[in-house]
This record gives sequence, C-alpha cells and structure tokens, in this order.
Amino acid sequence: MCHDECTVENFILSRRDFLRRTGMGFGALGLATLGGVEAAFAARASKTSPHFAPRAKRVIHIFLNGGMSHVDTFDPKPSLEKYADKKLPLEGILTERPTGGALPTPFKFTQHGQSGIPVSELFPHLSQCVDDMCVIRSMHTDNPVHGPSLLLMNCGDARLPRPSVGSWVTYGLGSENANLPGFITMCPGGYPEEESKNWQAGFLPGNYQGNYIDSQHTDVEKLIENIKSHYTSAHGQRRQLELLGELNSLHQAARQADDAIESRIQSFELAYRMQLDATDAFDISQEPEYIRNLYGETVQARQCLIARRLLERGVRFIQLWHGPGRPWDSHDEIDAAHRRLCAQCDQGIAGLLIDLKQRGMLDDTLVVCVGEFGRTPTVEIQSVNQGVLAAGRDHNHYGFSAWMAGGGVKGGHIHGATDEFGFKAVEKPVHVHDLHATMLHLLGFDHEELTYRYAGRDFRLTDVYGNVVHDIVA
Amino acid sequence: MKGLGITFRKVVFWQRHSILEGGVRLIVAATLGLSAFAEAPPEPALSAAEITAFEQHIRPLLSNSCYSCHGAEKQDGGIRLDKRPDPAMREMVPGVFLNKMGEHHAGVTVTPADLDHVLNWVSQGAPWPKDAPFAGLRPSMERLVSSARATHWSLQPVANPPVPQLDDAGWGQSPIDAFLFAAMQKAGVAPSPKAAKRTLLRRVHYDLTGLPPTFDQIVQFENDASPDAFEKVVDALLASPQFGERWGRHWLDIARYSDTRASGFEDTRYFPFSYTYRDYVIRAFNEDLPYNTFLLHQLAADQIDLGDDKRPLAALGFLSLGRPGSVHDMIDDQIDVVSRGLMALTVNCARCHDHKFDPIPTADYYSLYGIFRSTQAPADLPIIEEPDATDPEYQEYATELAKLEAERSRLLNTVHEEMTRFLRENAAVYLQAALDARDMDDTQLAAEAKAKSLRPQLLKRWRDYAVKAFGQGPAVQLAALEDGGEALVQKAIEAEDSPVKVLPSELESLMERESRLQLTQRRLAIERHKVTHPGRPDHAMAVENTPTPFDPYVFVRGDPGKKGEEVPRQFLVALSREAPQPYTGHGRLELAHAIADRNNPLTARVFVNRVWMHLFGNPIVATPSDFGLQGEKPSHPELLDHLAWTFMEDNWSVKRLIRRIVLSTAYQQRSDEYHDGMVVDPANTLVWRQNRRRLDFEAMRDTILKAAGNLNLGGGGFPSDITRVPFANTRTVYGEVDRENLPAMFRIFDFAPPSSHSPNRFQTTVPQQGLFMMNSAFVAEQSRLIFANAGAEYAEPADRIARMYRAVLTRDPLPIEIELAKDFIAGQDTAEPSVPYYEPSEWRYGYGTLDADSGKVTSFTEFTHWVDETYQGADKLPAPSSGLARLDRLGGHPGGPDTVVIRRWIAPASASLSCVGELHHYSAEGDGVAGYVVSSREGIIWKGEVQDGMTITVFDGATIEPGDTIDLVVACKANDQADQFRWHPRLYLKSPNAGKLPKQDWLSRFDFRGPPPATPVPLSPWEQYAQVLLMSNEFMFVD
Repeated sequence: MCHDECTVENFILSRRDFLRRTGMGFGALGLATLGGVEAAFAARASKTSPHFAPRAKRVIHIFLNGGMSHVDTFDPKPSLEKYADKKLPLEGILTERPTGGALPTPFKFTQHGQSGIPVSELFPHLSQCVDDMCVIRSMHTDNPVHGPSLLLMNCGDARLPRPSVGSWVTYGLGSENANLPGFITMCPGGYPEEESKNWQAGFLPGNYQGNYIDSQHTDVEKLIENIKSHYTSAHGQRRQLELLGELNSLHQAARQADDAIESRIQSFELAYRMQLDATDAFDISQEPEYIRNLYGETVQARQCLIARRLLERGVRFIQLWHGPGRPWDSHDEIDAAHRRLCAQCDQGIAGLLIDLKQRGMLDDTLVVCVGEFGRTPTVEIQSVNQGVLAAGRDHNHYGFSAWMAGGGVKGGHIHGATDEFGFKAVEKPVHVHDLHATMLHLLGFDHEELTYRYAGRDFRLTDVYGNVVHDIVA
Repeated sequence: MKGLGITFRKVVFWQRHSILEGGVRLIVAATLGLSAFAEAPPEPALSAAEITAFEQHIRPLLSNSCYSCHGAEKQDGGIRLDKRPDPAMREMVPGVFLNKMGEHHAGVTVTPADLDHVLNWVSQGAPWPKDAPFAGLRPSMERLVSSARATHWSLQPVANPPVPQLDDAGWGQSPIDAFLFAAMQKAGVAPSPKAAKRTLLRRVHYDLTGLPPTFDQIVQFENDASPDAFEKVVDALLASPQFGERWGRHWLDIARYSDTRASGFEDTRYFPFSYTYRDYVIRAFNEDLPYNTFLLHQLAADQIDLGDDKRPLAALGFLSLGRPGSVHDMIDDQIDVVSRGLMALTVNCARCHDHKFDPIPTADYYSLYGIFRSTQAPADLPIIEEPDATDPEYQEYATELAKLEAERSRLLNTVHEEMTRFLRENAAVYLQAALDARDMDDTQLAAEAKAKSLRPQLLKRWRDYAVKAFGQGPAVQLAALEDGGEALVQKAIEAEDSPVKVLPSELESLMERESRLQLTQRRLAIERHKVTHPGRPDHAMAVENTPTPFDPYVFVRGDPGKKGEEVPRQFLVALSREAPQPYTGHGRLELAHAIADRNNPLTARVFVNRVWMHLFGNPIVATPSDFGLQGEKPSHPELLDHLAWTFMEDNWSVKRLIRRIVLSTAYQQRSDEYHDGMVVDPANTLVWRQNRRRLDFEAMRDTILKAAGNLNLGGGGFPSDITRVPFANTRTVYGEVDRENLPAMFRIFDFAPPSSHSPNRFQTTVPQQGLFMMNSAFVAEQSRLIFANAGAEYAEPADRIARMYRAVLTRDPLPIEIELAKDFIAGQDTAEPSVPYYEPSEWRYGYGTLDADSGKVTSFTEFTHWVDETYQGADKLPAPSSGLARLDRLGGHPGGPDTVVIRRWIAPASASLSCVGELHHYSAEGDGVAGYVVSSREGIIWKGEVQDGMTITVFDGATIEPGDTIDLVVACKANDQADQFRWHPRLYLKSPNAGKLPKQDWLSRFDFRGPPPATPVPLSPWEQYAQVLLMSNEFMFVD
C-alpha cells in the first residue's frame, strides 16, 4: 500500500497512508526523497510489503539478558540427579569457563495445562499459560560470550553493525501510528550489555532504530525526549501552529507543490498530537486496578503493561529487557539468583499473555521470549582468584530454550530437544538465524526476500542462513 | 653406485626437458601478466608422500640456498622462491646447483644427497604443495576482471572530453554548462532562469559555509551591480574559516568520524585525541591542501617526510578512529572506509568469497588486509605540536605526568621483586606440584592449583618448566631424594629458562588480581591525565608499521581459522593495468600512492561526484560509494570526466573545483521552475534547475544559534556535548559525536551514522523533529535570545517584528506578515505550561559527621551545588562548610579531617537488604580512605579501609523498615590528601516477597542524577513568536 511507485496518482493518499508515509514507516515515496539516491535504489531493490498473508502484525520481544538456565525452567533433565557432582559422559564440549560435575536443578518441575508441558516452580504464573506457548528446547547459537551472542540474537550478526530484528520489521511493515515510534525498546534502570547496538538500525535510515526507554521511570518525559513543553501551554502551542500554518502557506504560495515541504507541515501537527498520544500510552494509572493487579507491581511487570498499551496504539515492535547489564548471568548461586529474577518477571509476562488473549490480540501478536544463550547443566568452577560462591552455571550456547506465543505459533507445543543432560541441542536444532527466519515468516516475509541494498549488495537479516521452522507454525 | 646411476639419468632428463631460454621467457611472462597463470594447466593435487618429501628435502634447501636473494626480502631478477613458482621455474632449480646458471650462482653449493633429492623431485614434475602462494584467479573472475577493465565505465582512464560546441550558445559560459546544456537540448528540455539575487546568496552561503548570510550581506549583494559581484562573494566564502568547517564535516561523514571508541567503561569510552583528526580535516580544506596530498596524509603520513610540521600525523585518524572489535573486524572497517570512501568500490563484499558482481577477487581483499594488518597503533601517540615549555599549564602537566609514570614504574618494580622473591621462596613446593602435574591439561591444572592453594598461573609456569626439564619421566618425590631435592630446586632456580626469572613483559599475566587492578588504575590515571589535563599537548591518533610486515593469506569463507591461499600485499587487480606488483615492504605507502595517483580512474571521479552532490543535492553518479557494476551509471559521463580531469590538472585543488562549479550558470538556476522539464525529467537528472534542499542537522542548529546572535565562531579542540545544559554555542561540527549511543537529537535529524562510512545522508520527516523545535530547552533558549536581541528600544511592534525577521529569515516582513505577528502577540495563553516532573528518588547526597564509636551518623546536610555532574558544597572547592567533599556518579572525595561524605539511601519498604560493591582508592600518596555503611537501625554494618587498592563491600540481610537510612560514608583517615575514591555499590532487596515490590534493585551509578531543575519560565507571546519563525519552512528550506 505504501510502497507503490512514486506517481502523481499516489500523491493523493488517505490520511492513514499519509501518516504512514511521513511517520516511522514511510515507504517508497519517503525513501525517494531521502536525498540519497542509493536509498532510492534500495527502495527498488527491496521488497518491503509482506510477501504473503501475515499471521502476526506486531511483536513483543522479551529478552532475558544474561542467559536463562533452561534446565531450571523449561527443559527438565532428571538424569542430572544421577550424575550429581560427577563428570557428564560427554566429550568435546568446551565452555567459556571451566565447569565441573553435573548440577541438578534445585527446582521442582510440574506438568501444566492440557498440553502437560513441564515448567519449573520458578514460573508459577507463566506456567498457567503453557497451552498458548510453544517451547523451543533446541535453540543453539555460535558463541559462548555475551557480546557477540547478544548481537547475533538481536541483529543477526555477531560482530558487524547490522540492523536489529526490530529495525527490519519496522522497515518492512511500517508503523500503524505515526504519533508513536514504530520500534520501542525498554530496559529498566539502564542499558543492557552492548547498549544501543542491540537495537541499532545499522545501514537502515536512523528512524528505524529502536527508541530506548528507561522503563524504571514513571514519567513520560524520561521516556520520550521533548514530549512535553514546559515553556508554552497546549493552548499556546495551538496558537503557534495556527500562525505557523499561515506563514507556511505564504511560503508555499510562492512555490509549486513539493512533498518535502508538504510533509514537514504535517509533521508539526503529528508532533502536536503525539504529545497527547504518547503521554496517554505510558500512563498506566488509566488502567483499572484489576488489570494492574493482573500484571503485578515490579518494574518488569509495569513495562509489560506499558507494552500492551503501546501495541494497542499500533507500535510495531517492542523489546522488553529484564534489566541493565546482564541480570540473568547466574554464575553463582543459581538457586537464589534465578528465584529472584523469575519473581521479578513471572507475573508480568503471564499477565501480558492473559491480557493480550482476553483482548483478542494474541492471535496477531507474536510474543518471543529468549536470552542470548542458555546455561550449562554442569557447575561452574570458580577460578582461584575470585571470591568463591558455589552452585552457579556457566554460559551454554550449544543448547538452550526459548518460547513463543500467539501470532500463528502452535500453542501447547514443544519443539526439539537437547541431549540427555541439556547440554546440546540434538533433536530438530533451531539456530538463531532459523528463529529470525521464522519470526519474519510469521510476519508475512520471506526472509530471503526482505532485503536492503547497501554497500554494493543486498543484505538480509539472516545473511545467507536461516530456515523457517514450519513445525511450530500453527 | 646405484645412486650415482640414478643421478646421472636425472641430469640427462633435466637437460633434455629444460631449455634455458624457454624457461626464462616463461618466467618473465609469469611475473608480468595474469595470462600466464591461466595458461598453466591445473596441477594434480599432491599426495601426502610428495608433500612430505618436499617439506623435508626441498624447502629447507631452497630456504638455505636461495631465499637470501629470491625470498620475501629480495627478489633478484624478479624471481621469488619462498612462494610457489611457476613449474617452468621449478625445473630450473637443479641448474643452479649444477652451476649452469651463471657466475652469480657460483657460490651456491649442495651436497650430493641434496642434489639427488632435487633431481628426483624435478623428475617427478617438481610438485609444489598447493597451499603455497596464490595460484591465480578463478577463471570466471579472471574473465570478469579483463572484461571490466576493458569496458566498465569507471575503470577506464579519466579522459579530457572535448567541450561541446553548441550552435545555440544562449546559455551558460562555462564548460560545465556546455556539457549540461548539450544533454538538455538532446532531451528537449530548457534550463531554468537565474535565481533571484537573495536566493542565490543564501544558497551559496549554505553550500560553502553551512551558514546563512546576514540581512546586511544580502542588501549589499543586491546593491552590487558589478559583473563580478557573485564571484567576489564566492571568493570571500572560500577564504572564510567556515568553509573548512562545512566541507570538513562532509568529509567526516565519509571517514565515519566518532569521538567515542566503544560502549562500556567510562575510562575507555573516548578516543583520547579524536579531535586532532577533525581539526586536521577542517584545516586541510581551509588551506586547500591538494586532495592527493590530503589522501596521502590520511593513509600514510607516518611514512612520508613531513618536515618540521608534524600536524599531518593527525590525519591518520582516518584509519585509527574506526569501530573497535576483533583485529579482523577493525581491518574490515579500514578496508571499507578506504575502498568505498575513496574509490567507491565495495571491496568488503569479497571478504568471504569473490565479489558477486564486481571484478574484486577475494584475494584482493586479503591483499589489502595484509597491508592493514602490517599497521599498528604506536605505544605512545606522537605529539603534533611541540608544547611551549614555558607555559605554566604545560609545566604542571609535565610534572604531574612524570610523577604518575614514576609511580607506575615503582609499582612494577615492587611487584617484580615480590614476585621473584615469592617464586624463589616457594620453589620447592611448586616444583613438586609441577612434577606431579606434568600430564595434566590446563583445566585439571587449575583444579589442582585450587586444591593445593597454589597460584594457577605460577603453577602453569612451573609445570611447563618441569615438562621441559624432566619430560614425561617417572614420578619424582623431592622429599625422598637424598638432599631433599635441594639440588633439583637449585638447578631450577638457576636454569636459563628458570620459572623464577620473570621478564617484565610476562609480569602482568602472572600477577594477582590485586596488583593487576592497581596497575590498571595507574595506567588509566596516566591516560586520563594525558587526555584531560588542560595543559596537555595535542597528540595524533597515528598508526605505524609493524616491525615485520604480515604475509596475508585468504581466510576461507572469511574464517580466520581456515587458511587458504597466500596472497601478496598489493593493489587491486582491477585497477592495475598489468598484473599488480606485490609490495615488498609493508605496502601502506604504496597503497596510498596508488590511490592518490593521477592514473587511478576512480579517485578523482569519486571525489568530484561527491562535491557535485553537495552543491546540487544530487550526484552525477547516483550511487556515490559504489562505482561498480551494480552501481548507477553517471548521468553525464563526460561532465564527470571533465570535472575529474580539470580537478587533477589543477593540482587537485578542492577550492578551485568548487569555485568552477558554483560560478557555472547551472548552479545559479532557480530551483522552483515548473515548465515542461517537470514532465520530461521530473527527477531533474538533466539539472535543468537547481534542487531545493532542507537544512541538515548541523546547518539547522548553527543557523538557530546565529539567528539568536549566539553563535560562537571559535571552536576546535576537545569536543563539547551539545545536548546538555548549558548548551554549547560553538558550531555543531565541534560537538561530541558518540558512535555507540548517538543522541536522539542527532538521529532524528538524519545525522550520518558514525558506525561506518556514510555515502550520503538520508532525509526523513518524523514528528520527533517537530517535538524538538516545539519543546526542547535549546530552541526555547534561542527563542528568548531572538526576542531579547530585537531591541527593547523600539516602541513600535512593527519595528521589533522587522528586527526578528531580519535575524531569523534575513529579510523584511511583508505587511501581511506584520499583521499576523501583531495578532499573535496580542493574544494570550489561557493556560500554564506543564511543570517538569521530578521523579522521587531514594537517594540523597550530602556530607556530615560520623561517630565511629557509637556507629551513628551524627549530622547530615544535603549538598547545595551541582557543578559538572557533581554534587558539592560550593561552586569552587574547598567549600567553607564541607571542604573538599563531593559526590559524582561513580565516587567522590571526603570533606576533610572531620567531615565525611555521605551517599544516603532511604528505605521504601520493610525488607531485608543486601549490598555488593567495590571501594577503590588509587594513590600511593596519603593514607587512603575509610568506608562505612551505616544503618539508622543497626549502626555500622560494614566498614573497610583502603589505600592504593580495592576492597569489596558486601553485606547480606540487613533489616530495614520504611524511612530507615542506609548511609554510604567515606572518611579521610589521618591525612586528607589524595583521597579521591570510587564506590558505587548496588543495594538490593533479598527477602522472598521482594519480587512483589516495584523496585528491588538500586544501582547507585544508574540512579544518580542532579537536583530538580528550576521550574522553567514560560515563553512570552513575543518569544513564542520568535520560535514560530524558527519552525517555519522558509527557515528550514534553501531554494
């Protein structure tokens, strides 16, 4: 719709199309005026309207940064008991740091829902939603180090500056609401490791970058820069815009129609409305108490609720990080650490799934929950020079779990498996590129066709890799 | 005797099959042209036995006898034998040993056995293992190279095409106009008339300096009827310092300039002297440094004789200011910025395989890789201007630096002594453990060290010694030996490779964490000092050659672990008329010369195309950083060549190139003509009009400052953060560019992403731009200034309105505009603006007194001043009441003997509180500091003292009730000198139900922020009016 050829006919557009064009998700017309002809060329070279009917229209990407332990949450491994403190009969597995014998999970697993998917006691709320969830137990990635793995999971490349998944999705689909950014990324209390690289636009235009919001704040001004004026009242701004309109039409009258001039005039009106819309979207006090109770009180819960309000307003891609740095990186005391982390996010995430479902939004909202990798089923050996705390797990990129829900994903489904001990994905392994290919597929894109011409070649999110995991598509 | 017989037969064989002259002819062909590679029939793969025979007998012989004249260093006669030579050449090898190859080989001798090996080898066809040198291009790539060299437009030599002679010479006088007009005539499109004088003046001011003319300059120009009025303006603008600031910034887009290196720790976030590169670039444009020299400086200033002026060393920032990462990725970034930036070739596409479309084999990528891999950062950055030794600020800098460096070497010496003593004293224990651990792998060894409470790095060192000295021999029990093992221990201590003899270079990897931390802090202190002290001399972010050049090889599919063919360091094959000549040295200077060469078909074309783009809004080649086969073709190929040719003829003068273009009639056309050109060529490819352009980020911000009478035309040196209050008023080019976290303000106005080379800027229209203009403190501040400058002495509103029009829009208002203004100003806001919300925080920052005996904080006063992101007691320290006390995000300084500094946290709920953090103090001076965590409920729950080191702050499970205070207190000890500390612990709630609380985690450095801002004064209607002028399209667009 908004990616048509740049013709005179298309100058006459519905307001909605116009908003798309001038907002975060402008199409060919916007691109053609990028001032950059390489960009115009890119618009021709890429296919940015969906390639087939999408199952999902929007995405929530929940990121358990630091790496959740799968054998303590979604991938029970009773065999670890047998080998407690003993070396596992596995060869050739190198971890980032030395690990010792098997460390059985301290948490109790129970089967839940009609599907009977086992979930540990760490997620008492989320486990009630398993029939809507598809647990992928056979994720694997390339590298046991946080930085490269974060970038691979977020941008499809472990090293080079490449657009993030959210940037690709907003580039492909545009935003449904020009009064709000199309791609919002929230992290309470600071940046995750690798900082804004995780939501970079890479070589795509800068406005496809994730708009970072520190969700520990409750104040909308901390959330969106310049969203309020402290110098002029709304009434005064309305007067300013009336005058601006008069001055601009005098300026325009002396010139022929020019869409660059035209869209700038509109953008002030959009900005004016955005002040109200955005303030509204972030104001969870407007939610009834029972909804707020559904999510819970933590910052992680609050950002889930804000996310739902943003989704309702047409934001395309929302990323929710657990916290600054790498909170899930439980090298020590997995018991205490994972208990604390799960208590922080369990109810909020479950609340989000329940709430989306009761509003009929889960069908076309894709929820993806993943970390950069998993953790070892063996205990980490602390090096002599560090303060020794026991019973933690090291990084494990050979096998880990992720889950998805809604947006055309099979509910109550388990895909793939790790080996007997949860070390390595052995059955139907799903690489990060495969996950990306599948996400794009659910959004209606062939991951090999969603391309952008840059520096002499057509780039893809999945580079030259990736296979859609059709088994998990409902 | 049998052996001799064989030898004899082989000699005959050799004589029959190797005709000397023919061999030489082939060799010459092999060294001159690629064709020889292709003609050679493919050799069969070698068997394992053949490879072994070659590596055992042949390569050592060649290495001993031949490499000194025909190796990596020297290639007499163009012959090189350390790389796999042509088969014909191999067959000639026996001739050398049989003394058949001329006098100069007379000294080469060989044993009969070796001669036998050589002859035997030749009789088998002289097999040479294939992983040796580059065997040539794949045939498809070779065809692509030769066809592209023959036909692709951008690889043809730059011509000097004849200027079209037009019958109907009614338009334009310059050759540029003639080329354009000829194309227009062919298409049947007429050019546009000349723009109005004020339009033209505004356009040329922005294009050349990035700033608008003043009202007076416009009036003066309009009144200047002389025929060279425009020329005079152009020359003045080219001569103004603002020219270099504008065009330098264009170059910085190409060079992906950034002031920050990486995300993460404060200490390593910034490049120390990035700005010296930025200032070099600006100066180069202002001094009209010839473009070829400009390139030589940026690629190899360290390799050329600069004379006394060392400032061009700063140009090497072009290579050094890239993205950090693995060595491979940093080189990838350098290859990218050099190849796309300077030659519009996408060489990076050939990192994993031959380029899919362009004549760039993957070997080319690794040829360049080898050059950049032979380049390193110098241990000490060179000073580019000798400091004035009499300058007291510099003297202070130098004294302090010497002190810091002495401290560091003192520390190193102490650690070295202690390490040696420790190793000697514990030699017996470690030797025994090492003997026992001879067959352990490193993981087992670490576990063993842990079990025996030994230091793992040291045990590893001893283990390596034990393996060497004792092999995998039988177990040895020192205690069981007659002398208790004393002799063995003594021998180990005195051995040449004794583990107790620690080289200074090994020291850092062996020391314990504590010492390493101290050392790191020392190093950081030195770096910080070098970068931040106001008396610092400027350094260049230079590079230098590595001691020996790196011999590159292809990484198969881009994987550094997979070694492919060896390739020489050399220039790109598609740009070499003959086969490229391998560089014998490091190659960077040669590469620079090959790029800055008149005969390089790309360099000048690429640059003039970029210049054209900045002056017309559209380039001649629509893909300015891709002149390859997939790139666009030039809309005006002859014009492009004409510009490139004259540019080079004119000594690569950028100013004169720009002058020629802006003086053309084409440049001076109107931008808003709408005749039939709109139908035939709506995209204006034919340049039948100028293009209307929107101010970019820098021009916009600079113009707002200028309209407010607030633009500071100074600048240079250390970058200023332009996003923070108080707003810097220097030009935007001098603002800090933060690669990793580019502020929203840069992004929403389409600033070039500094993560990699930018061919051109996007131009997007998003509501956040409107929000910035409507709501930002920066625009509000400038709006007030515009009104304040509009002259309170004018009683008549119309006069004031005119003054504001002149300042912002550089013209007088129309009567209707005055009416609109008066109506607006007469109106009133009916509401108050919203007040900024200041989120409540659990933290307070202050100073006070501590009674350590009773464990009570006996007084607490909040700081009153906020200076430079720091809480303190006065604008200048020491403050009368709180002395040196201050707190910032990471740490602070206690007040004095009786005054402690306190970071206070107020408990929001009943819970159990834990804490973890590190208290650092790094100075050998003074006596360190004491830290306390004091709870209002439980008294002192943690305390620690530290001097020149670190101590871990940790406690668990302190009971808190709402309103309790937890004070992080730091006190001087006996001495209040050098007490700067760093302490930003994390407090977190640990009780099981803490998960239900809104916040459970307080990272004191993330939570840190300044006091509530003063409530802003609302803008008056006059000021709001000034703001509307800034928001107007007339302000933002240049016709």
